[in-house]
Amino acid sequence: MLSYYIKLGWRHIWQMPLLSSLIILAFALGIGVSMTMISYYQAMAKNPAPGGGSNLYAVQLAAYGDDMESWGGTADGLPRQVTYMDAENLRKAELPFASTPIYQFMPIMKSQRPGVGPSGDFRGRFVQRDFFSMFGLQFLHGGPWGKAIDLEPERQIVISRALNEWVFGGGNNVDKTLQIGEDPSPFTVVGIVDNWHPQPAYYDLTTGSFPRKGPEVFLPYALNPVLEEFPMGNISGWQNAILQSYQDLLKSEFVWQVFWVQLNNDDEVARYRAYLKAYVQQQRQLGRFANPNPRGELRNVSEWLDYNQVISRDNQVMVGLSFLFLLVCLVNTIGLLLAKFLRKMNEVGVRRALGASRRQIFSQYLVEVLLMGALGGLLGLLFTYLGLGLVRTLYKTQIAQLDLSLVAMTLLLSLIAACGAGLLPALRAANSNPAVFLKAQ
Amino acid sequence: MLAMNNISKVFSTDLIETHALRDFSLRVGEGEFVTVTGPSGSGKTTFLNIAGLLENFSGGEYRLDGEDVRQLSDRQRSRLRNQKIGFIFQSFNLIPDLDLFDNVDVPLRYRGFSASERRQRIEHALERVGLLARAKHLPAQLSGGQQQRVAIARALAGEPKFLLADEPTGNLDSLMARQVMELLEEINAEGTTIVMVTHDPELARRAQRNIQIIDGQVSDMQSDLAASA
Ligand SMILES: Nc1ncnc2c1ncn2[C@@H]1O[C@H](COP(=O)(O)OP(=O)(O)OP(=O)(O)O)[C@@H](O)[C@H]1O
Ligand SMILES: [Mg+2]
Repeated sequence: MLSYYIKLGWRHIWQMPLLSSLIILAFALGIGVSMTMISYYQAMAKNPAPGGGSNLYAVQLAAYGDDMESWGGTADGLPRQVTYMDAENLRKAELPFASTPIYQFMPIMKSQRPGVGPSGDFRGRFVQRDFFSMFGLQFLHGGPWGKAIDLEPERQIVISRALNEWVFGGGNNVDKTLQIGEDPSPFTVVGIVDNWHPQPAYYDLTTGSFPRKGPEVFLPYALNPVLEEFPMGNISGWQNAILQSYQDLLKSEFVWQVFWVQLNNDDEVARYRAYLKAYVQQQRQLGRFANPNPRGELRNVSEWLDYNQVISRDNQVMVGLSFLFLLVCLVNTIGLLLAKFLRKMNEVGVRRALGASRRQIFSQYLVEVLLMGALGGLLGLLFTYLGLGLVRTLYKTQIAQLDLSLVAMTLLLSLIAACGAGLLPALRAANSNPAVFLKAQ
Repeated sequence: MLAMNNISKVFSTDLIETHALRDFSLRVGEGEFVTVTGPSGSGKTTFLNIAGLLENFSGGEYRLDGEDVRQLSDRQRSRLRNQKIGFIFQSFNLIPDLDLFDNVDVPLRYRGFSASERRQRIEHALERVGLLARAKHLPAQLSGGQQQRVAIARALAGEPKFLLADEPTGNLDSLMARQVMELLEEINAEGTTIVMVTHDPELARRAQRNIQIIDGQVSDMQSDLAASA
């Protein structure tokens, strides 16, 4: 019977092309707009950390003085980043927890293949050895540098697969060397990781929540004072300090790196909190943290994403509005469907007289609406595709791509919407009195 | 075949109540050909619609082929309609966007026959009314008489025991009307019970039995006798 209903529905669609295309268009617009907003929102709402990052904690310190009440710019008045001094102290603390500071720099790379341009567009990060396991990077060749390198640095480097291809043309190039910029001393490759570009870039939101590119170069954090690679990210301070040299920056109270620690259970969290408390007190005695509320704070990845307002209130309002728009489209569709079915009432009467039950008439017309809903869904998919393209240009991001699950969700939503819109008109058709419509000719 | 006892039908609208049928009693035996005449608005169509389970009635009792229809659900009524009753209307009521083949197919679809069985029945029914060659034509491409023959083919395809015709010749000229009448007589001769409403006294006379409906009641001695028999 279903194939019969589909055949009839298909016929009816072509019989009233104008009315049918208006209905399909109404479905498609509603679906297209709401799916665009949903998928954009979904992409932003993602938590790409391994296991949701529930055991990864960003560390914040109230590292400001002069009796300032708060740092400003955040909900609780704490700075998002830490100073070099604090990063040094925290990473060298005698605790059994994996941890790493992170800051971005822009390496100038040189390809060793003939004919490949002087410099690609690459991002680098200074990190500790623990970074790779904490954030779940996959090594294709080699591994991270040794533990000792975090204290006694050597010129070792981990690069991404893409950079490995760009510099060497691919393959296992562990133990080979490469140069960064004009620096004559080469770096030895110890590991090659798979490309890593989680969105949002929860590990370092100070360089944008959805950066265009992920990091391709990883250097031992301990090389930072040696290489004097200037941070390419947010640097902020509360003092009017004048920096003459890179070493001035290292000694300053400017904050410019994020600090992460891995704590696997409540005990470890409690232990680390106690440690932070003691650390703040100790620093206070040294004259730092001279503010009314000196403290440290820990936030896991999902708390960190909230705290940094990766999803803004505007985005939520937009999703709400898009659903409202879908609703308006559906209400319109109901009107159009009623008009369409009204013109079919004589046929309904004939079918009833020839033995169709109410239920069969209902099914026939619901199938017809579902058919239009499916067509609207396909067109809506095209609108979603175009809409996401527009969103990407407007917001200059690469996120919000049309993937298979989104396609499935779009088609599902359009069928649900079609059911919602088709229920009343199909019921009306099924419950009409056939005798009345057989007389009217 | 059909037994109605004291059927009443009231149409209530905002302003008035119309008693379309009152104390309507009638029996039609198996294989009979009954014509129904009466003034306009007397309740003939209402009677046919109730007989064909298209409309509910307000009071009384109706047995179709021995079955009390008051207890039946919509699904059961629809099945009865589909299996035992064929309808023919004055205005043909073919579905305009389906070709003749698909029009005759409609009742067979709801019957749940296989594709091959349907095809066989459709071809047989169209052949019977002499229109098999035009199976792929749309109703609008046929004359009125031909359209009514298709409607008859559609009513016959499921081999119903009971044919209800509401002024089947009302829209046809006398020649075509006679052809349709002959076809119906043939069908009746093969055993199908027929109740036909008509305004044409000549046609009414051709049937073995004629009843008159006046003001929602059967006013005919013959049928009264049949009812009390
Ligand atoms: N759906 C309805 N609602 C209200 N009144 C109705 C309805 N259908 C029929 N009637 C009324 O019931 C009465 C009988 O109508 P019916 O159609 O049965 O007459 P008829 O004998 O078939 O007339 P005609 O010969 O003109 O076809 C009429 O007075 C009509 O106005
Ligand atoms: Mg009538």
